Amino acid sequence: MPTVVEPRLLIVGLGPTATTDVLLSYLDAARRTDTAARIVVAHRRDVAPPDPCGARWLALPVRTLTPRIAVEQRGDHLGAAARLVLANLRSRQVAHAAGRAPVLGRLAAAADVVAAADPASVRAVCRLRRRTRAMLVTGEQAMVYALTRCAR
Amino acid sequence: MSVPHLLLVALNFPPSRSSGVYRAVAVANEFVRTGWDVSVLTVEEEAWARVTGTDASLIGRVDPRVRVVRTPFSWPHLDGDLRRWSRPRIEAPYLWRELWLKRSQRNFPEPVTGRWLPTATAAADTVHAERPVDVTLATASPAVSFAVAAHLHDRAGVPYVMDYRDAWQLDTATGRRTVPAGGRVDRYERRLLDDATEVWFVNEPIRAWHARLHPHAADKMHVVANGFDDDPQRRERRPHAKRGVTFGYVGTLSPGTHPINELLDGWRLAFGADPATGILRGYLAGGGALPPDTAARLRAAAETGLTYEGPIPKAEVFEFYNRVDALILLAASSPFVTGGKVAEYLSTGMPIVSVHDRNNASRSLLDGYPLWFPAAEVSPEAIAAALRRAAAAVRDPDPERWHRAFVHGQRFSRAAQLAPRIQALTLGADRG
Repeated sequence: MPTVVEPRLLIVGLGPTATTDVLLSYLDAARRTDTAARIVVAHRRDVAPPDPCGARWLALPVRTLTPRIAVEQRGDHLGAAARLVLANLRSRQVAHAAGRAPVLGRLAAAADVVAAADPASVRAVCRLRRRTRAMLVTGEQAMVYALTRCAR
Repeated sequence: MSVPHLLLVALNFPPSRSSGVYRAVAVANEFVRTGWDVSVLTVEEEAWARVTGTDASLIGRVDPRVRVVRTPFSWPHLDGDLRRWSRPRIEAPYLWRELWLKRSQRNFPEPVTGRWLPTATAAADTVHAERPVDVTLATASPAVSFAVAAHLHDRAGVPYVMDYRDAWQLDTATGRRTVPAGGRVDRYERRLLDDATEVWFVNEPIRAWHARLHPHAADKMHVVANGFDDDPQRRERRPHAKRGVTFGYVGTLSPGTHPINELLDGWRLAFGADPATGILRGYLAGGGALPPDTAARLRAAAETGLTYEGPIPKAEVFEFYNRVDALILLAASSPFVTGGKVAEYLSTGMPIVSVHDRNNASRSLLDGYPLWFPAAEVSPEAIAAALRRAAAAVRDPDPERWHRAFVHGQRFSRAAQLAPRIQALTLGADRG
């Protein structure tokens, strides 16, 4: 009989609040069946989503994102190339901000699964490759798949 | 006379939990039951685990006499394992995805699954070499299955059946054509239909649409509707008067197409002094997430007795039916969408509350069902009225009406739907 453990999950969600909320909603639904986890959510200091999962919240110093988001919203009127450049810049900014938070590195090192809650956070999570042996994922299904594997 | 050999090409097969799986399993099992050897060509189990999740209980529903041949396959664009992402993908994920999707259609005009063609045709050749195939039955979506069947036809003259669970050129949700007339998909489909022995559709509106588009193939087009799977637990229930009524829903919950918010509002209006219980079970469409506002409303609905209890393995569905007194049918508003669960609902003989507009194709199955309570329109008031009527039928049941409902539902078994076509193909195989 395999030992069932509660994996340690770190969610990095520095983009729009809704994406983290969606990830937690999914986790909430999935854990009803076969997944439980100890969760820490790293989020922008200025917005913390509601907590349906009993997660611990970790505010990161990325307030500087706000003006960048305003520029990005105007990007609706820009061409595809401009939007791609903005998305790239934004992910770099998030990664830079996350890199300035030593606590995030320590949490990642101790985690079993690190999930990026939004496209802007993918680069920040990828930069943790060498600092943790955790599974690094993005997307709801990949997160639950990783947690299920860890739990078993 | 030797035992005929069917090759079923079905990318969606257990442990995948996509909706088309049930039909594929039923087809394989029914051919085996009627004396065919059946080989199924599909993809490896692990392919599903990473992207959509799996339902291991479905594997047990496949007749052990069915031989399953699995090929490698992956959905790199959905792969969320960041350790496998390349540098270009991290730098420009949107651009990477667009280029990858374009490249995936090199062999076959279908994004993503078009990549299966070389592997699947090689595997089909191997199956045929080991034991000659008499008929190939390709079920789609994805439409690449059709091309695998056509390959075996071109190479070895094996006749094939095209089974459209969905449509290739028609968006069944909106009724719009998805590709231009005369384009690559249109030409490909025309050629595939030319050589097919039979073409199956799940309902008459989809068949008629294709018959109009491809009149040259209309005479070989048949409706093979979705039916319910036989289950030893299925039995007629004896209704007795009761006060507390429990409603249930089983199936994918898709906020984009299902009127979930209207149901939640209707539920809130429906029950006052005689509260009812409602249980929603099923996977959430769109990667498993509800929009945050719907998720919040669903959480709030628990206060009025309506709760979402998460996914349900297929093997536990009957147990669920035994827990509830009446069923809620949420469906998209489209004349082309029937949904596999309608037949299963009908087979239970329980009251069914329809929450979809008059346009939905499932009405053709539900018409005449003695315990059908359709909402007159998709509005909270009309849904509330339908829920109350169904609750009354549970609280004060008419046993004769319940019996007629059960008898009515039994005609929609999978075996009954498939029998005429299997008989025709068996005759063809005998002559061949």
